[in-house]
Formats: sequence, C-alpha cells, structure tokens
Amino acid sequence: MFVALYLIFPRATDATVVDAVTVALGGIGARLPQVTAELLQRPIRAESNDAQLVWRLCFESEQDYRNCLLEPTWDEARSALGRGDLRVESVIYQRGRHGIRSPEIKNGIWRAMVLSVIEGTCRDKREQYESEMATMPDYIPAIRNWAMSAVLESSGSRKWAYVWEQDFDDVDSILGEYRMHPFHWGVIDRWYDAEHPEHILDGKFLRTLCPSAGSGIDPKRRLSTPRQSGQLVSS
Amino acid sequence: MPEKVYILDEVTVVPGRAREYRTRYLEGYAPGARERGMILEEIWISPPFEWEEGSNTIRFLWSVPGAAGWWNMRFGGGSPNFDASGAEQAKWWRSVEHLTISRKRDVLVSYEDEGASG
Repeated sequence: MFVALYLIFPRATDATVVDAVTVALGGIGARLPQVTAELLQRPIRAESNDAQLVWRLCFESEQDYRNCLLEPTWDEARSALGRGDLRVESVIYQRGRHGIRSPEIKNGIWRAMVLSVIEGTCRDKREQYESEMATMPDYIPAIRNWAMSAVLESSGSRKWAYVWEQDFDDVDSILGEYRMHPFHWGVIDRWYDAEHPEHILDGKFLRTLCPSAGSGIDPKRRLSTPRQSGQLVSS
Repeated sequence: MPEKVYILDEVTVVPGRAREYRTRYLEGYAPGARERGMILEEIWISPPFEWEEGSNTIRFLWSVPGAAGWWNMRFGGGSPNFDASGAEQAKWWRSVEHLTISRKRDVLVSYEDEGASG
C-alpha cells in the first residue's frame, strides 16, 4: 500500500478556511481512479500545533500515485492545497512494517505522528529506533493496528523521515494503557526526549488523532474504483 | 503501575572537575528538575573521593511519582508539547559538555513493584 498524507494548518485562526478546504477536497478522492481508500477528516483533540484537517489517500502502488498526479481532477487538489492561507505538510510513503490484529475495528481512532530525525543520526541508531517502535505493539495490546513507515518524499517545514500510525479502540486507551505502559515511557520515550543522550528525533513533530469508521492502517478498499477507459493505469 | 520511577543520570567527568560539575548540576539543572516534579534522592561519586588526576563518575538519582509523574516531568502537566519539551534541559546539558567525558540516563523501578516482572 502506498500513501499520500496531507496535514493542513490554516495560517490564521479562521475556521472558515478549514471549511472551505474541506469542501474543495471533498469528493476529489472518489473521482481519482487510482485511489483505493480516502480519509478526509478534522482531527479530534487538536492542540494548537496539531493539524486542523487531514487528507490521506491510499494507492496500490507508488506508480498509481504518480499516475494520479497526472489526472485532470488532481488539479483541483493542487489548487485547494496551494491556497496562500494554508500551511500544508505532506508525505508520501510505502507502508512499512505493520501489524493488523483488528482488521474489523469499528469507530475507533486513527493516530499518526510524522517525525523528523536530527541531521547526522547514524544508520545504526535509526535502525534500532525503527526496530523498537515495531516492537512496541507486542507489549501494548491497546495498539490494535499499526504501521511504521519511512517517508519517501516530503514537503513543508521539515524533511520528514517517518510516519508512525496506530489504530486504537478509543481515546481512553491512548491516554491510559498506551501512555502509561512502561515500554512507552521506559524504553521508547528516550528517542523523543531532547535531554536524553540517545534521542534522535527532532522536537518538531506532526501528529493527528482522527475518528475512523474502520481501520486507518488497513482501510477497506472502496467497492468500485471509478477507473474509466482512456485514463492512466499503473504500469 | 510503579509508585516511583527512578531516573539515574550517570556522568563521567573530565579529570579534576567533579566538584565543579556537581555544583553546576545542582545550581543549573536541579531547580528546573524540581519544578517538573523530580525529587533528588541521592548523589554518588565513584571512585569514592574527588580525584584530581583521574575521572570521577557522578550518579544523580531522581524519582518521580509513577508513570503519571514521568509524563508530568516531560510535559509539565500539560498536553504533550514536543516543540518545547526538553529544549531548556538540552541547552543546559550542552553547557557542560566540555566537562563531560560520557553520559547516560537510565530509567528504573523497584523490581518489587507490581508489573515490573511482567
């Protein structure tokens, strides 16, 4: 699965901007034949430094994503995302290591963190971090589904390196079992803690917490793909 | 859940600078740590004297009240704000790099605490 993720921040605290972008992006995914699943959602529990709108598109392959960018419909997305009153942080990635133990999860929470790594961090440290993150769900059952992915390309305020995504049953399991588990604060947190000698992650994270009808990590493919003759297909 | 979570800073100091390091730690780092709910439990020195010609390792043992205390220490009781978290402390650690040969930080709980043994 290949993913394009857009985290959208209005430059001013004007709710109408988010409304307008939501309307502009609404329905675009359904008209793009390469898109296999779409999430267009206002996050919940948004803090001041959290995205105000999330747009996530899934594709079968990177090639499908590239073809999608050539669709006339994509011009509408480009226009909506290119508004001057928005800051957009975007990443594309092949879904990396992942685990699905609740494929049928319903009305849960999809959570994503987009992370950047301090320049000069060695490959060994990065691999150790990736490996420990992938181990985290073994210890914390509240993480129903998860994916740890390396970013292929990004744009925005940082060179983004990773996307860490999880499905939870509810917000309480994030604030409770997930946050309070010793594997979280006793092992994983050192990578994030700016004063810890082993930390490797830049403090400027992006994160989002969205209600999700099904799994955000392993979304159901839409029933019919509106691919029509004459449109680009993956090679 | 553990009642107390311990944080152990272990610093090997440039020869002859142990006393200076301890003073700077207590005056520069400890006040902010206390504001974040950390309690200084103990300071150890090894070898067990201020060694002028050799390196001392100083261990500072802190505690916080459980996992909630951990996150309070990290984010000051507010919502996780990674932008600000740790930045001031990191600046302080950088200010003593010239006195430091190596440093590590461990997180510990009592083995007798519920949950520690799996």
